[in-house]
Amino acid sequence: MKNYLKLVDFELKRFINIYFVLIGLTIISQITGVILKSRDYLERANVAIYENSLSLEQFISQNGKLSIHQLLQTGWFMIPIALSAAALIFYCFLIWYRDWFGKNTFIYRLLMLPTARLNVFLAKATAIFLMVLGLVGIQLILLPIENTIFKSIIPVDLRMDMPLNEIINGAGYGYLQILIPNSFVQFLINYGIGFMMVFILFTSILFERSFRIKGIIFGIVYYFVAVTVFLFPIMAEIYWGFGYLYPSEIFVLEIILGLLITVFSIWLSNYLINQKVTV
Amino acid sequence: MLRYWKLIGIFTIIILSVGTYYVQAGLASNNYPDFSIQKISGDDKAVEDLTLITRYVSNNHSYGDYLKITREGSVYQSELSYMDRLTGLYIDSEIKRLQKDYRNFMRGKGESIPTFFENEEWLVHVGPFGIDYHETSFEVEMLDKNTKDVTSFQVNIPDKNYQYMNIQDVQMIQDELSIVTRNFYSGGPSQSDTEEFHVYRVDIGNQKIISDDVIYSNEGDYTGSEWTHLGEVNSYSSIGQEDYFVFRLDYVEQDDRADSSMHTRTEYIAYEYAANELVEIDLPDKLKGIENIVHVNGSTIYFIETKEEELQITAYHIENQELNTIDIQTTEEVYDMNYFPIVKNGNMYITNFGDEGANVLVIDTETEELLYEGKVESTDQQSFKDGYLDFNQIIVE
Repeated sequence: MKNYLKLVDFELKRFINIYFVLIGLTIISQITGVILKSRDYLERANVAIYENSLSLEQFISQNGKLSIHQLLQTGWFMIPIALSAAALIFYCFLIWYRDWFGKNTFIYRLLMLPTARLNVFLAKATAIFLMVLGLVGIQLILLPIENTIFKSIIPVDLRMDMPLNEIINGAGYGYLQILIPNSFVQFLINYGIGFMMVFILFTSILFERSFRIKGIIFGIVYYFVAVTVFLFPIMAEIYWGFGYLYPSEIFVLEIILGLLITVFSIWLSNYLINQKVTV
Repeated sequence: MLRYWKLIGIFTIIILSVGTYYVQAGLASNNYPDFSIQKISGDDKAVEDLTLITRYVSNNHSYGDYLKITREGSVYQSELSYMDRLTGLYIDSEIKRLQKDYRNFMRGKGESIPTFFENEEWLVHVGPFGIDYHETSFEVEMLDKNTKDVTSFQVNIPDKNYQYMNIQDVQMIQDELSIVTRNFYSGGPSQSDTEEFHVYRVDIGNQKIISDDVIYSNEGDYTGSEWTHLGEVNSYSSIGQEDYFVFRLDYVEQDDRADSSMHTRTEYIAYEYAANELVEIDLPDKLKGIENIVHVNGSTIYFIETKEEELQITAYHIENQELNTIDIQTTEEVYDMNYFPIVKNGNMYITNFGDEGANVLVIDTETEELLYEGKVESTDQQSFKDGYLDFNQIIVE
C-alpha cells in the first residue's frame, strides 16, 4: 500500500507543473470571460438606456436578461475545459511513453522496484483519475465564485439568478451536465465508464510495449473489442429494436459488463507487465 | 505525510467539492413548483385513486420535466430514484402494470395499447403495431393467465397490396381473435390514396385466418372536391373486452381560393364485434363538429363540449340509439376544449387544462351528478405565469 501511494505521489509530481498551468488557465480564462462578457452586456444596456433613451423594460424585452448560462457558452469557458480534457487524454499516452523514451529509460528502474509491477500500472491510472476529478472539483469551486462576480457586476434587474445545480444543468450544449451530472449515481456511471476506458487504453498501450509492431494491432483490436462488448446491449436495442430487455435490466447488465471488462483489463495488464513487457 | 501534499491536496479538493455538491443536491429538491389537486366541492374520496401525469414546461423552455400530481402533491421524474427514472413516468400506466405482472411475456412487445387484449383468462398480443408491405404476417402470442402457458403462432395476412397498416384493436370472442387494422394503399399516379379499416378474424384452434373483411374503405368518398380521412376513436385507452370499435370519418373539402383544404364535419360509425357488422350512428348535426372531444366506453359514446361556459356531456348509446344530455354546473369556469376524459368504475373523470391551471371533475355516469370538482393548484402563485402544464395521461388505480 505504501509503495503504491508513493508511486501515485511520484506520478503526480511528474505532471504537477503542467497540471497547475491547466488549472491556472481555467481560472484566469473563465473569470476573465465572466468580467468581459458581463461588462459587454452592461455597456450595451448603458448605451441603449442613456444614449438611445430606451426604458429598462424595453431593453430587457429586446435583449433579455443576462444569465450565467450565456457566459458558460462562450469560448472563455469551454476552451480551457476542452484543453484540459485533451491534455489529460494525451497524458494517458505520455504517462507510459515518457518512461521509455525519456532520458535513460526510466521504465527500467520502475519495473525493477521491489514492489509488485501492477502497482506501477495502478499508480499511473490513479494519478490520471485524481487529476481528472481534481479538475472537476476545481470547476465546482469556481462556479459559485464566478456566479458571485457575475452578480456583483450585473445589477439585479438585468440578470437571472439561479442556484448552482440549475447553472450546471441548463448550461449550453449540456457539456457541464456530462462532467457534473444531476444525480450522484449518474456521476459514478459517467466516471466509471471513463475510468474503464482508461484501463482499456492502458492495456492497449501495454500490448504495444510488449509486442511492438504486432502489438499495435493487438492493442487496437483489444480496444475495439472491449468497447464493443461494453456497448453491445445498448447497440442491440438501438439497431434491432428488440425491446427484449427492460431498461433496468440493461442498466444492471451494463454495470456487470463494465466491471468485468475493467477487472479483465487489469488482469491482462498485470500479465503483460509481468511477463511480456520489454524494455 | 508532508511529502504527499499533492496527493492529499487533490484528494481533499475532490472530496470536499464533489461531496458538498451532491450532498446539497440530495437535500435540496429541485426548483420546479409543486402541484396538487385541491377540492372545490364534493367528496375527496372521489379522487383518492386519481393520478395525473403531466409535464411542466417553463415559458422560456429552459426546463421541463414530467410529474405526477395527486390529491397529496406532486413528484417530478427527476426526484425519483435512478432505477425508477429509467422506466419514465410517461409510459402508459396499463403497459406498466402489464410489464410488472407479466414481466417475461411483455418482453419485446412494445408499448402500443391497441396491440394488446386482456380478459380474466387471457393476455393476448398481436404485433407488430406497424406493418409495412414487406411483412406478411401477424405474430400472435397468447398467455393463459392461470397456467402461465404461452401459445404463439403466425398467421399470414391474405391481403398483399397495402403500403402499410396499423393495428387499431385486438379482441377475443370465444375461440376467435378479431384484429382491427387501418390499412393504407397508395393510389398510383392518377388515383388518390385509399385508407381502409379491416377486421381479420383468426381461428385460435387451427391458427388460421377465417376472414378479412373491409369494414370501411374511403375509396368512394372522393368526389373531386371532398374526401375523407379515417380515424379511430380512443382505441388507445382500453385493452379490455369491448363490444364495439368506433371510428370516425373526417370530411375534408378542397378550398380552391385559398389553395388549402378544410375539415368540415365528422361522422361516426361503430363496428360490432359479436355480429361482425357495422352499426350506423345517427347523430344530430351539432355533434358532427370537428372539435368535439369524444370518448367511448362500452356501448356509450360521450361527447364533451363547452356550452355557454358550462360543461355539457352528451351520451349516445349505440345499442338503442338513445341520446341524453348532461349539463354540469361547475363553480369554476371551464376552459373550452382540452378535455381529457376517462371512464372507470362508473365514473367519468375529466381533466380540463387551460392557461391558469386545470380543472378536475368526477361525474357519476349513472346518476349524472357531479361528485367532485377540484383544481390543480400550485404552491407557487407564479407557476402558471412562468410555465404551463402539458397533459400526458390520467390514471385511476
